[in-house]
Parts: sequence; structure tokens; C-alpha cells
Amino acid sequence: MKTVGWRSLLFALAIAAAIAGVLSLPRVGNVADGIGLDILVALRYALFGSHYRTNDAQVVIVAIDEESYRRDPLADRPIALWTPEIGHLVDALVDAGAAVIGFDVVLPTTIDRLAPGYDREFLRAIHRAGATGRLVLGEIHQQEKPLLPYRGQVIAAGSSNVRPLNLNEDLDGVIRRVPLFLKADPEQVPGFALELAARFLGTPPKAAGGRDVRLGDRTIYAAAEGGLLINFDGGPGGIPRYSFADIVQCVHAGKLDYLQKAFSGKIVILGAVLDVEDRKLTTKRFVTAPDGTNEAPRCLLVPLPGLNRSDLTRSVIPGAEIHASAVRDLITGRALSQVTPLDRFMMVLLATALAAFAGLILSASAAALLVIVALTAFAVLSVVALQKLVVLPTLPVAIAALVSCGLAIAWRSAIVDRKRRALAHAFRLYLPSPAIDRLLSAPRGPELGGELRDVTVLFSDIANFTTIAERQDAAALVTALNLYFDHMAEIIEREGGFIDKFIGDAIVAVFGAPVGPSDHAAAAVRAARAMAANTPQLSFSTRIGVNSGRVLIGNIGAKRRFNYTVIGDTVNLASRLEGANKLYGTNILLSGDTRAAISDIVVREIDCVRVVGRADPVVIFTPIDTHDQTSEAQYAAALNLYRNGDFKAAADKFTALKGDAVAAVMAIRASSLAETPPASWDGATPLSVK
Amino acid sequence: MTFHFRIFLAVIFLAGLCINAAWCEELAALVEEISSDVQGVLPYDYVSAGREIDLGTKGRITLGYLTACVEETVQGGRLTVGNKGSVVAGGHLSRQAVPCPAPIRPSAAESSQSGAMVFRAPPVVSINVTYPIITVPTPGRVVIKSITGHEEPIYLESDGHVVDLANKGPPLRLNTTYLIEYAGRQLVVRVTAKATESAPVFARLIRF
Repeated sequence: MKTVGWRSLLFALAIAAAIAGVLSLPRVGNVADGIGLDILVALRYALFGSHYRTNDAQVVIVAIDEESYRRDPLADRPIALWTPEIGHLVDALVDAGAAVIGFDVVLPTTIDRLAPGYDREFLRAIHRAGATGRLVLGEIHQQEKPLLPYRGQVIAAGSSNVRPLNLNEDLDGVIRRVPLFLKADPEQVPGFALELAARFLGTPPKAAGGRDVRLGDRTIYAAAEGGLLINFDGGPGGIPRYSFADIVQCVHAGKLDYLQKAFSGKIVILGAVLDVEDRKLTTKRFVTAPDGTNEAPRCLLVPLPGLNRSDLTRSVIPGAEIHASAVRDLITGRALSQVTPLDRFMMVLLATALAAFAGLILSASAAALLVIVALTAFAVLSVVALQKLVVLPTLPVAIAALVSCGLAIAWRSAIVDRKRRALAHAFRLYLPSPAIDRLLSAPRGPELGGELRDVTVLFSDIANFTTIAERQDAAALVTALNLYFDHMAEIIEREGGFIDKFIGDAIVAVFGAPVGPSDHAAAAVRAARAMAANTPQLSFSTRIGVNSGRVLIGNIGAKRRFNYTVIGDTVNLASRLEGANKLYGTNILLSGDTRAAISDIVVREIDCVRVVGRADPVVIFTPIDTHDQTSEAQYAAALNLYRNGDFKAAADKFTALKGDAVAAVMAIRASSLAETPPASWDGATPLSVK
Repeated sequence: MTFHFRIFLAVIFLAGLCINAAWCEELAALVEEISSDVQGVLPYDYVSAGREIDLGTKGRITLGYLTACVEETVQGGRLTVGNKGSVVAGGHLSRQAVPCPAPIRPSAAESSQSGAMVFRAPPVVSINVTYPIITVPTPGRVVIKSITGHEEPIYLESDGHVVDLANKGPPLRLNTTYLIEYAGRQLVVRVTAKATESAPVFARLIRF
């Protein structure tokens, strides 16, 4: 966790206010809220399924559908000429006890001029329904000239039985609301859905302050931009559709029982449910169902086969379903309401501020993870709230949080972390990267102190460096040394170690601290082998000692000046082993502790030695490239004789290993001891070199 | 073609339009109520301006005017329907204003969409001939149906640009309205009660 300066705090507050302000702009807020609601409706459907069932629906649609166009006697006839059949339908619905009939179609013309009396029965039927308040014709007010039902229909039905079919379109072109009241002269008029609901409930709608509406004992809360926010159900949606073609045949056949069962006491909307015309993008766009899934049981006609594809789910739904959904919400009291603009602003502001602080005080990945987890939780909360009919500003909050978190991370990266990066870059030349990271992330500065830790120490030195230095020009030597150290450092860091210090031509490297590979011994041996293999290209030969054990590691020194380093006998032994390479003709020597910690590297046990300054003998090993079992067994046997003090036999066996440099060294040493046996012998070769 | 001949053709064309076009006879009012003793008019009939209705001594009619927010009730006498009101001779006229449609002014957001369909009547013409000539842009099938659906459709194939019923089909019935279809397009044609079997060519033309 990082500390936050006052400049960062100011930045967080500024971006919180700015983002909350932008997301509260009417145009931005409208689109963000709308898309958020669409997503929530889809999530709710995924989690809870459909809320409504078709068999207890109070709102139904008689659909002028594709089948109606294809069936006799209406096939291929303009719908404007269907008025006799529509008149029969209205009569039948009234007889069947329909509560209200709504026309979601507008017939602005008549052909009575040329066919006198053609609309007579239609007009009589709508007069009959209108006189009892059971009919609402639709009208459309978009341009200067409205699209009204032909004036004769208005006279027949009654001018108070005509209501606007207008919808509220959001800025993204999606329908999420229907108007409750529309502005008119001298007083506002109810929209189509509100009028149908009011007729059904038997109570006139009244303005309830602001844009809200009182309907009986219920208050309908208007959306922020006005209108009723429709609570679209996912999937089929629970509004049954009756094919106009089937109902017309049913009416002609006098099937009153069917008609009563289907329409008695219900709101019936006559509307178009066609493949192309009058289909809208709505809140339901992500969770629609294939056309035909809401089809009610038929009265007479068997559905025409092949009209609807069961595998085709379209994002657009018929306008009649929009009005029907709004009416259902009004009569069931399940319309949606939004939080107040102030609450919305505060939620967005809070989300922005919290996400910005997360971005400032946490690492980028931790902040991103925290914000995503928090937003997921908020989305779940929003779905639950939607079930309770309250719409939370989910998408604005999500946008605010993500943007502010991103900006905070960018700010920190660009302004605050720039100094840290520069510092880290500079100190990476002196300290291991993990130690720098730990230093920079610590709440306080570095202090004296360390820890005991099991590590592997690698000590390397250039063979015969003094001789080389005497022969070479100083500048060329420095260039060669730098090249050498570059390569060695690269190998060490690649294996997860860090260079503790350079001592002349020597390197002290540590594996397993301050953080490092758990297989630090193997990593050190791999590094040692790579270093030894690379040195011939660099005109040097490297000798390396590797030892594993417990060290004291940390900030060691005086209060005013200290180093991050390791101290302990483990380091000393590594140094001694490096020096012992000279005696055995090897490049790498490993201690027994290191050998014990590795398993997949082939080694040869060279000898047992007693180094300067250390009483206990140490078994030493060297890694080998090929494992010739016969030779290794012979060496092991010779070594066993050597340790047991049978120097003559040991010398013979070592000598028998032709071409083996280490065996040759051991053969000479065994022969020497055979000639002048030591006073006491415990199997450990005393080393005089450091 | 001389200038005067062009003028002559234009006059002939306009005369043809006036004969054919429905808008020569605009509807003026809807009969909302009518007593049963009045002949020739039924409830929910539209009546045109200039139409005279004899109510006798006790006849009663209520008219709702299409272009005026006015409702008239006439008791007895003879009335002549006007565009916004009647002239009554020998009867009693009572006139009352009825609510006009409220001028609704929706907001911009409420004006851009409406979840509804508008179904307008197809183009309509009236003809005074029972053997019309139908002109089509390209050869194809022409179907003539009575809009009441009580008669068998007439199917005609045009091999050129003209289908002359005098050569290819039966006569259309007097006082009947037909739906004529060609290549997905539709026309409603009213054969008047005064239609004759023959007429000048321009008066017989029905154009798609």
C-alpha cells in the first residue's frame, strides 16, 4: 500500500467531481442509465427468469400478424379495408366482456367516399364500445400535422376516447419509457397506456406533483426525463398474442365461450405484430424471445406452418408489446422507479472517489481487481434492487469507478511513480530488485537490521587474474572486466540470484534472498556452470565456490551508512571452496550442504577437506557433464582407499584413471602421503589456501 | 405539337381527372343518429356536402361534422348538408359545439417514436364505365377483386402495357367497389351507379 500525498488527494477529488458531473449531464446520463438498465434487465432474466406467465395475464394483444395477411378473407387486402372485420371484432370483444379495447393501429382514411356504407358497421361497433368507456383509439403526434383516426371514427367513438400512442425515445434510439401525460391545450392528456390502465382500474389519472401521476391509491413515479419507465420482462414476456385471423374466424363461428375465456375482464390491445413494420429496440433487447412464443391457444385455425423461426431471436419487439407492457406495469403497480438525481449523483461521486483512492494507494493490479470485485457486488445489488422495482445507476457507477481508477493509476504512474522509478533504476545498480521493491513499498525508510535466512552463496574469482593484469593494458583490462561482469551478472540474475558485491575480480552472489527461488542451491549451481562455461569466450577462466547454509542478511553497517549484504560462515566457506579449485584443477566446487540440496545435477565427490579457519571437515563436490559409471565408481573406490589411509592403493587407482585431471591431482597427493604418511589421518585433506 | 393542341390535351386530362377522382365529392358529416322513417340514409353513413335529406314531418337526424367541431340535430323539414353545417328548410335545427381534438404538443423525446401502425386506404378512383382500360408499366398479372369479397376475382394477363376489359374480361358491376392489384400495388376503384358500357378512352383509363 502506498502513501498518498496532498497533490494526489486533490487530484482524486477533482476527477471524482469531474466524472460525477459529466455523468450527471442529461444527455450522457440518459444514455448511460438506459444501457445500464438494459444490462440489468438481461442479468435479472438470467438470474430469476420471467416474472409473468401468460395464463394469468390481464393484458392481451390481438395481433394483426403475418398470418392475418395470408389468410382468407383478408389475404392481400389493405388493412384499411379490414374495417368490417375489425368492427365485428370490437362487437365480439364487448360481448365477451373485455374491460377495455385499445387500438394500437390508426386508420386515418376511409373509402366510404367511394363505397358508401363500407365503414358503417365498424363505426357502429366503435360507437357502442366508446359509449361505455371501453374503447380507446390511438393517435400519433409527431410532426406538425398529427396522424389521427379518420374524423368519423372520432365522432363515433367519442373524442374523449382517443389517446396518443407516442413513446419516449432515449438518445441512443432505444424505447424505455412511455409518456404518462402529454402536454396539450388547455390541459395535459393521458397517454395511451395510462388511459387504458385508468379505464381498467376505473379511476381517472391525476397529476401528483412534478411528473408523477396518481392512479387510484397508487402513485406512479415518473422517470427523471419524464414518462413511465417500463419494467420489461425477459423472454416471452407474459403478454399473450391472439392472431387476428383466428379471432375473426372465431367471431364468425360464434365461439362465445372461447372469446369470453380469452378476453373477459381483460385489456385487449389491437396491434400489428409483423415481421418488419413497427418493431422497436427496447430495454428488452438482450432478452427477447423468438416470435410466436407468446401465441395463445387457438380458437379455430391451426397456425400456418413455417411462419416463425424458432432459432431466430430478434432484438426488436412490436410496438403493441411496448404499450401492453406499460399498461401491465400500471395496473399491477410494478413500474420501475429511479433513485433521485441527488442520490444518483452521490452514488457516482462516491464510486469515483473510492476507485480513485484505490488506484492511488494500491498497485495497479490490486486496484483493478478491487474495483472489479466491488462493481460485481454492486451489479448484484442492482439486480436485487431491480427486483424491488428500483433502478440503481449501475452503468454510470461502473463507468465512473473504472475511469477514475484508470486515471488515478495513470496519474500515479506519470507523476508520483516517476520519482520512484528513477530511484529504483538508480539503486538497481547497487541492490537486488526485490530489495529495492521492498524498500520503495515500505511505509518507512530503511533501518539497520537483518534476518537469518537459508541461502546459497556463490563466490567466483578469475583464475590467474594478477598475472593477466600485469600483462594487459589497464584500459583494455577494465573493458574486458566490465564485459565479464556484465555476462556474469546477467547469468546470476537470470537464475534469481543477486550480486552482493564485487571484490576486485571476485563476485559474491546470493541465491534465495531477499526473496528468491526456493531451489536456491540448484539455481546457484546452474548459474555456476553457466558462468564457468561462458568465461573462455571472455578470455578468462573462472573459479567458483558454492555453499548453502544460514546467513545473516539485511542492512548491516553504521547508522549513517550501511549495506544490504550477507555475512556468516556460509559466505566464508564459499570463498574457501573457490580457492580450493586451484588445488584440485576444478572450476566449480560445491559443499556437502549444497550437494544435499540438489537432486537433478550430476556431481562427483572430490574429497573431504579441512579449510583454513574451520575445524570441521567439508566434503566437496564438483558438477560433471557426463556420467561414466565405471570411471566414477573407480574414482569413488580410490577416494575410499585414500580416506582409509591406504594411500599407495589409492594412488594406483587414481593413476589408473587416465585423462582425469582431478584424479591426477589426487594420485600425486596420495603418492606423496604414501611416501610420508601423516602422523594422524582422519580422511580430511587440510587446505592451506584461503 | 402546337401550343394550342397541348392546351387542349391538358384540359382533356384535367377533365378526366375530375371525372375519375374521388375528391370531387368530399365527405362532410357522419350520421350519428337517424329516425327509422327517414329513407336513404342509415346511422353511421357519411354524407357529402350538397346532399339533401328529406326528414318529412317527424324525421330526426343527428350529424357530426368532419371539419368542424359541431353536432347538429334536425327535426323535420329538408336539410342540405354543408361543409361545416346544414341549411334546413321547414324543420328545426339545433346546433351545439362538441369537443375538438386537443392540440397536443409532445416534447421532442416524445415525438420521435410511436409504437403503432398507420394503415391508410390505398389510392382510390371512381369510374363511370364498366369496361375500364388498365395501363401497366410492364406485362404482368392484374387481379380485380370486389372489396366485399362476395364475388370471384377476375384474373387478367397483360401482354403489353394495356388491359382492356372490353376485350379480355367481364364487365364490372355497377355501384361496386373493387380492389385492383398489379405487381404488389393496389388501387381501389369504385364503379358508379351511373356507369355505362362505353365511354371516351381517357375516361376509361386506370393507370398504375
